[in-house]
Amino acid sequence: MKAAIETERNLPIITLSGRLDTATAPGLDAQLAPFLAEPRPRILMDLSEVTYISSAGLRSILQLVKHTAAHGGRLGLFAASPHIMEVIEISGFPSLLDVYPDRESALNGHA
Amino acid sequence: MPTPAPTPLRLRPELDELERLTGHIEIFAEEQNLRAKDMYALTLAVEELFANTVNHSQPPATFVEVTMGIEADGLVSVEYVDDGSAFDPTQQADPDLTLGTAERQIGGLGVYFIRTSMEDFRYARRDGCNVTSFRRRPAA
Repeated sequence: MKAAIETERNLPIITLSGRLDTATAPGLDAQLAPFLAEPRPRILMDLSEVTYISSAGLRSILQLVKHTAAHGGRLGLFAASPHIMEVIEISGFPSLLDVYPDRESALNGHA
Repeated sequence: MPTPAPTPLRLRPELDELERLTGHIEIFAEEQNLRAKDMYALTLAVEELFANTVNHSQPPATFVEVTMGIEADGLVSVEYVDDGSAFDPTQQADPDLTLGTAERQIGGLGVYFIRTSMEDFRYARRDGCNVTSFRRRPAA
């Protein structure tokens, strides 16, 4: 699981690629730890290249939900495939974060 | 048409075996012409059980064996066996999906996925092993 972090219009965007499962989630958490050492009230995640997510992956996402909320903000996700969205929806996550169809609407969304 | 004999896969209870496990499910799904939705659900369910074995079994399990097959009624059957400490996933409480951000946890979500996507979710303790099984009705 590769995570790339960029900034666009002053907003951090994390792009994930591949599978986010029990084996790869710890690596993602390690990659994100330095980034989360700073307060990040608003984080956007590009899920267009995520092919699979399990509860282990949702745990990693939940850490970002809690981090942003603890700093007065909110996590936003965009471009998740239907399979990924189904898992996110079953888990009840949509009430905890913002879901957007694409990058542009995510960048225009409100914190 | 004869029902294919189930193919058991034996694994070490270690995270680096997950790839072999998901690959096995992918091959099975292709052989049975299952939809992506079914392959995803089966992979998710088996991964959750495997993760529980690897992360929580105390004392640790020494093996995991997964057997997948197609039954006479057309449903996919999965049997998951490990020799770890007794753990009945069918008794895990559903997570509280209404909790707010600060209170929300992940515990129970994996088993909840199994409950929402599978039928006949069963558990038995046999010969020092956890034997968990479930069935999936393939999508139309």
